[in-house]
Amino acid sequence: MTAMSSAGHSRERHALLLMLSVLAVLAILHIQQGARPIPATVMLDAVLSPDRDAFDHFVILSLRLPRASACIVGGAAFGAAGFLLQVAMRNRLAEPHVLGLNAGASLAVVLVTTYQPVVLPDILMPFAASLGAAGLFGLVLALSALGSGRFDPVRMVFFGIALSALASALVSAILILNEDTLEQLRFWLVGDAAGGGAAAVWSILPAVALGLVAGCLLMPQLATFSLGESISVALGASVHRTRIAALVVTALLCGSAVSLVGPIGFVGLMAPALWPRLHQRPSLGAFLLVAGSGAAILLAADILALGLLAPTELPTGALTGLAGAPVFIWLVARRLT
Amino acid sequence: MIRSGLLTLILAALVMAPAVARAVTIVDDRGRTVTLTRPAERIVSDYDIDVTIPLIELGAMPIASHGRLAGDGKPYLRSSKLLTGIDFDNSDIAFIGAAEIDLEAVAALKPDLIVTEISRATPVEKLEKLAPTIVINSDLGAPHVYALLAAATGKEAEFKRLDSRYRAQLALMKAEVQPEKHVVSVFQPLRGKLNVYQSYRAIGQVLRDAGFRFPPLIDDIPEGQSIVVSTERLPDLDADVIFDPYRSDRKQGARAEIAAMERMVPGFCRFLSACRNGRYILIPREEAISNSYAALSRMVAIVQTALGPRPPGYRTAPEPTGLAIPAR
Repeated sequence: MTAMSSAGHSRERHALLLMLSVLAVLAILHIQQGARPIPATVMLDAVLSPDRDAFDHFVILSLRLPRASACIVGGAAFGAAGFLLQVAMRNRLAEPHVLGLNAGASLAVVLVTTYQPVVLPDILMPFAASLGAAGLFGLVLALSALGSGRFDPVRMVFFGIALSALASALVSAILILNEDTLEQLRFWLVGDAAGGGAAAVWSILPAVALGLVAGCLLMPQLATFSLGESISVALGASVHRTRIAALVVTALLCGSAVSLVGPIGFVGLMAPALWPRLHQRPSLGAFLLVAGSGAAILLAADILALGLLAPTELPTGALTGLAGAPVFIWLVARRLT
Repeated sequence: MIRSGLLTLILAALVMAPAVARAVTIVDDRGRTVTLTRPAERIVSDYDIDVTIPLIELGAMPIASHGRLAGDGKPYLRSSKLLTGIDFDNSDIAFIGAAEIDLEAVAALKPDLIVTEISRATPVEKLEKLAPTIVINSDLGAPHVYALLAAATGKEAEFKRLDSRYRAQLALMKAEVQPEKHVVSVFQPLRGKLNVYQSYRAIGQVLRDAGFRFPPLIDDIPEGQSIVVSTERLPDLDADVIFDPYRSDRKQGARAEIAAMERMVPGFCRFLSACRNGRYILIPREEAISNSYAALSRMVAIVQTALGPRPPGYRTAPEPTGLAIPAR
């Protein structure tokens, strides 16, 4: 048992190292991409001896680095949220985009941006988005448990898709009456990392850090879920309380990520799917691995978004949608067969 | 008998003549030929900013119009109060919808003309079943749209007056600022990107009509279109004067636009010579976006002020601080 556990830890360590290396390579590739050709020597200069008035230095330090950071922070939050949701609900198809969290967060951001009940400081936008995510997801949970008293995974997916469509219809209705807000948000609504400047990254960092730390603290309790609810209870875990805590953390992570890079879909589905049998032995290492994988996926998607049709930039969310939808179909098909 | 018959015919011809002369045939911007038995009087507008405002300015007050809904649910005509002084709350114009117009309400009003814009959602095939319908393309600019509307409403004289006023104002501005010597650009921040226009509505029309030059990035945009570029292209948009049409319908107004630019490019002014020289001009979008002579007049004045000569020692401060006036 100890030998097996130590082999498992060693595999996790290797996977984490591999993931970190891939993340570093992708981050370097990302920083090299851009509408303005900048030689590698200037990039080094920008880092080693930054000149405030040199526009190339500004591009590296204030545009490309924050954008790459936004992808890393947003992707990690989406990946971690997806894994938390899947483990807490014991449902491989549970994904923030599918279960309405992204749509709820988008609706909250669009409402606040359009009607401006109060001019919200940037730092509070992630919390408004998180409230929207939690509100809509709460409704999905309530409807999926209606009658049976338990969360049926298939009903959750159906209600998630239905309520996401409803929230998206509300967003469309609001924006169709307000051309300028539509113009302002049209890229963000598909999911776009370009808006994630340094200030935006800093403003959501506390919320994402809080979510990741809380996720780490919850993982040992959630790990017992994989043994079945009755064994989990026998081991002393409070299934209901742990599940609710995991869902609150998921909403916080999703809301923060959506307020930074928009409602980018399927990262939370693809990141855990990259690693086989991860759901059978959820652990702190697995959680960090998935968070890192989410960051890597979003970096890779943004590199393609920047480069595929350069100089025109594609929205990052369009790329994750193209890759994520087949993964979702594959997971459903595997489940059905 | 023959004589009286001839007299009747002549009288009938005299009575009929004005009616025949007043029939109007128009080829609209979709190439459709529309014939009106006489200049329209009961007009329904399917687009507030590009149809209703020009009609009001021409003196052909529409009986109903598309509009927008404010946060409190009250309808309004975008930019109209600013440019014409007229809105739903101080006129007899009926509100017929904020997105697609209510066709039953239009039918009940029995219009003799419906005017729509080429980008509007309601199909022209549905509208023309209710009344003769003309389609305008606002991208072709105010003079073109006004000419079409004036022909349909018999307001050619008013159109000529408005057009000659604009040409005179433009001539005065050109004499003052020599546009061919200056490079100008128009763009807005768009959440981490820059929205750049080949010609942005009224401000674009004035700048093109006056003969200003534009940076190559703007000149390469196809006519009437806009592109979204990375913030990394900011220096490519530098000019003698930069016009940024800010959202004047928001609480924070121009300050929010500056804040949006600052969020994207902290200290952006240092990378733009126009900004460093005090010529980064924030113009209200509610005026700049309108294709009307009222907006063109406002834009001519703004451009002339922005580019006009300055006295020696001239400096600008970010905001007026309030000059203390000594007591008498």
